[in-house]
Amino acid sequence: MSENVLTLENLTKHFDTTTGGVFNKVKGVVKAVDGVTLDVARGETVGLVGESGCGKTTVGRTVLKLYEPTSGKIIFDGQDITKLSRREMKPLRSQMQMIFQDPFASLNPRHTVGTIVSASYDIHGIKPEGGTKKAVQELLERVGLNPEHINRFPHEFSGGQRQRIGIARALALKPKLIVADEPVSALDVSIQAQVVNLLDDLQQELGLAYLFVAHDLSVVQHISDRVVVMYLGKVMEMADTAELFFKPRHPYTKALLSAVPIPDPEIERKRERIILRGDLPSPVNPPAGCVFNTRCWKAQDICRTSVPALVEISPKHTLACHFPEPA
Amino acid sequence: MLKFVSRRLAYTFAVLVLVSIVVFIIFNYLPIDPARLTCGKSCFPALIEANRHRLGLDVPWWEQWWRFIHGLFAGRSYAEGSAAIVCGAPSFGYSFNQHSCVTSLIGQAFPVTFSLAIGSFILWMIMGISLGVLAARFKGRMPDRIATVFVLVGTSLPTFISGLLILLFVVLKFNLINPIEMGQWMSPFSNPWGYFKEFIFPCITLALAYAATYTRFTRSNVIETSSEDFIRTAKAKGLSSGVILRKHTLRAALSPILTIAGLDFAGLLGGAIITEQIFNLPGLGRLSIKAVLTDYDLPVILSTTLLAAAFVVIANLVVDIAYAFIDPRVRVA
Amino acid sequence: MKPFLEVKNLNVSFPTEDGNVNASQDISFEVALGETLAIVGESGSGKSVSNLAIMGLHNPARTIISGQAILNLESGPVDVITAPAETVRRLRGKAMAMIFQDPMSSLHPYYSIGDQISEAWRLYNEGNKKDGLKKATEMLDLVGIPDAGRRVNEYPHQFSGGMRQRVMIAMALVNNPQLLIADEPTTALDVTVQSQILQLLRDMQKEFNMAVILITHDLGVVAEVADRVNVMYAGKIVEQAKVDEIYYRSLQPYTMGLLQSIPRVDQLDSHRLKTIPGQPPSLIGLPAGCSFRARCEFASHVPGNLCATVAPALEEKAPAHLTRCHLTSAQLLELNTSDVRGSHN
Ligand SMILES: Nc1ncnc2c1ncn2[C@@H]1O[C@H](COP(=O)(O)OP(=O)(O)OP(=O)(O)O)[C@@H](O)[C@H]1O
Ligand SMILES: Nc1ncnc2c1ncn2[C@@H]1O[C@H](COP(=O)(O)OP(=O)(O)OP(=O)(O)O)[C@@H](O)[C@H]1O
Ligand code: SF4
Ligand SMILES: [Mg+2]
Ligand SMILES: [Mg+2]
Repeated sequence: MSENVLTLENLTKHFDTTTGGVFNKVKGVVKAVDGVTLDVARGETVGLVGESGCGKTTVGRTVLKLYEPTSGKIIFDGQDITKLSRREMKPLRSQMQMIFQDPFASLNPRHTVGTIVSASYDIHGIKPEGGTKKAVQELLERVGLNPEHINRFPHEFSGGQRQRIGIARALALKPKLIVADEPVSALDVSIQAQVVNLLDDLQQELGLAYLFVAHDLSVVQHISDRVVVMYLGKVMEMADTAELFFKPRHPYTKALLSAVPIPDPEIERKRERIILRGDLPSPVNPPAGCVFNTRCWKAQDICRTSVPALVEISPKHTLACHFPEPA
Repeated sequence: MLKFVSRRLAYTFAVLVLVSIVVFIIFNYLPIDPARLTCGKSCFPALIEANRHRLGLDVPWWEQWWRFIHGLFAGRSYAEGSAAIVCGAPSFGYSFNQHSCVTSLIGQAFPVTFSLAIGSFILWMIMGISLGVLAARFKGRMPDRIATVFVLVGTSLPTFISGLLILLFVVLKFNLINPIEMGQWMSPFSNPWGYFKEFIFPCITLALAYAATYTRFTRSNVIETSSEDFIRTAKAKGLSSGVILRKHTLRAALSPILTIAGLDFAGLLGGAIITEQIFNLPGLGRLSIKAVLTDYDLPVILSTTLLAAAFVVIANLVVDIAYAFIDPRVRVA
Repeated sequence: MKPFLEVKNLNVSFPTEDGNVNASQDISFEVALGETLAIVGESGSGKSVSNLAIMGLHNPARTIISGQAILNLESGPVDVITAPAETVRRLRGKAMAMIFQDPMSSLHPYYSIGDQISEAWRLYNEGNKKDGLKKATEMLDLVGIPDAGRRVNEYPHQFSGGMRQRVMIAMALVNNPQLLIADEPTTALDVTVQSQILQLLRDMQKEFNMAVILITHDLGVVAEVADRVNVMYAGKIVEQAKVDEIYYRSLQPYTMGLLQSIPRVDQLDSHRLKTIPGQPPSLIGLPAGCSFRARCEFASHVPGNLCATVAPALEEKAPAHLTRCHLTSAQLLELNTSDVRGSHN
């Protein structure tokens, strides 16, 4: 048994953008994910952060083979699943699950909570011990919902409770890996804390591994063991949480962190900010060289021509930059 | 923009060619033999074959198709020698049943249908949009309730009933049109009053049904647009509600209506069969229904079918181009 | 001198089939020129509703509004709640302006950026279309849109989210308003763009000496920009004070809970987050007593069953520090463990 539950090697996912209409022609390619290498150990949480459109969701969905990878390798639990067909994937599906951002849209409004949570059993033809109903009620209790509410519909629950239903559904088949795509972004702060704690507890008890996708760096810092920073489909920096947040080496990581407001007025008043110029470039036509060079304050000529390689600069700390910040 | 228009033009042309081919194939494989229908009881094989040749049906469909297309641009002649019949370009063929070039049949029928279409179009757009806007503006109040009743009646009453009602209880009852004159083409130039009298009631009949749909559509579009964020922005700017409605709400709410309006209008240009029938108007609708039901007059059927399709395809083009002027998001695409 | 905006006992409710939604109750606050007031609270706490009432943007047929919101204009005070609709309309976009959360949908998709800004300017200024476009270009330049001369003729869909929010700001500021209400202006944006926009708002406030109301649910943003803070819960202001008071000496159990439930990027904390159990109450038929009671961990310290029976009033329990709670300021200070400075040494 390998020590990593998930390994991505140079994972790439490109989408064709088309002109639309009858003569649907390919106009360009969005390099949504462009050579991502990372791994997730058993029971570990890896955070995936970056600005909107940098490819976080695409990584998550490709890992679960909801998208076919364009190239690269996905190794799940020691098994190369890159080329597996839908049918070959089926037995593995139960071991990797996804939680979505929108607790409103991801639950079928016409199904009861019981139906939603037990759907995974039916799909995989599993008869849980003691019957489906009992299993579902245990799950609901596990995620902090009233097990008596098994016959209620999603609209009868609040946002935070709906997210709990989503989590219960993901847990039904005792997965090894959960890809959580912005699981708390749509929730209010006080509810957000409840869900984050729930995810924490479940990990402790069940030994789950999370690939935790989010754009809120404070939450990612809190929940993750290691963090991957992405920009325009590429990994910029990857390190242990403490190292990444307190000794960031990549200019982008540094800028990103300095943009996060801190709920402490005195610190805010003293704080020096790195304000990035301009907007994210289009992923259809990313800049040559280092993709970050158009907004980077350290960029030199070489950044505009040569792509910095992703190298391990110290144990478990990888980085793609020609001019990293001093350690 | 030029690129956009030329691309759409090429596309429209391709669709027209495709449609014409499909129409020829369909009629070729229908289990009805037009040549057999030409002679009724007195048929014998040689006569059928001769007539088939006369009709130009003795060649494969692609050849028939090509002759048709060629005729459109170069004119076409039938039979030889002294009996030769020549239909000049643009020729839609010759109707042996009516002893006339199809082009001239269409030429007579089209002004009638066009008058009907344009008249009802103007009426229903004015009625539908103004009633829809009023209903949206006074949502839940009197104008809205009146509009709701109107929509209910208009959509549930089929044209053949509303048309008959208008004919019987308005036109004939009050002697508004001399029944003998009914169904004769009146030129709007030489006899404007007669023209008006002839068309106003069929136009109203047709417009009623459409106006109801457009009222409903306008109402829901205006209501929906009114809750858009950009309308709130317009209010926050301090614009008056009149300006907001005219400049901001209607522009966004009516553009989708333009699309269906164009297509509905084009659909009518192909002939409003029921209304023409009720008011005895010699338009394209009656021309085709007669060709189908009584004579199986293939050249006429083919031509009216193609024409109707062409109107829709061209309307599509016009609407798309108009849309690009209205909506900048389409323009750059 | 009086503060520019004085809101007194503002109530906003929406009659619905299920009953009256009391979206804002007894809202009172002031904002002075050059000052930034942040309004913070969870979704549905009434932040937008109360400010839309000040702007006069509610549908009068379906909203019940009472109370006062006085703009102290040079020409004299105007109460925008009771003033005729036409008077209030002429203050919108001129004396007071508002920008909204979603820059993607807040601009009209069919008109060019220049047209939209120029329309706002020409409403209150003499000038033809050309002057309007010139003004629009100046404004775009001011809010930091590169190549303004060309971009002024472009359409919203050609702009990114951050740039659209800049356009919204340019449009709001084109008539030098004295009050700017920004309703979650950065919630839909990435953090890097958020810091650009907040910086821009600060610069513009200096430039135009405006009173700014910033609505947000992000306590980090509040700490970054606010001078004073209103904390809202279930339609009411539950705490009102200077920003440092809120973060270091909060006198409100809800605020304390909120401050402790958010993780911070600058502190490595692997301990569990503190949570506020339960969820906010429905605004229809609010029960008697304190709205926060069901989630409050300090309610048991209040003698009798006061929290469940009597709604606490917004009282000044420390200088310029108002709070809604039955506990005394001494009790609250003792119970407060939320001083954000305490934890990062
Ligand atoms: N199915 C698709 N077809 C074409 N392009 C896509 C598709 N899905 C995503 N993209 C594009 O790929 C890029 C990455 O998208 P992705 O959703 O992975 O970003 P993200 O990091 O999750 O962003 P966000 O924070 O907004 O959720 C974007 O430019 C997006 O437009
Ligand atoms: N037109 C309306 N009719 C009925 N209820 C409304 C209406 N507008 C708002 N509400 C209700 O009033 C309450 C307060 O809404 P408001 O928009 O002020 O919340 P908010 O604090 O701005 O929240 P958010 O952070 O989600 O923007 C909510 O419960 C909302 O459902
Ligand atoms: S490689 Fe160059 S452009 Fe890219 S982040 Fe490093 S310094 Fe900046
Ligand atoms: Mg995403
Ligand atoms: Mg709001």
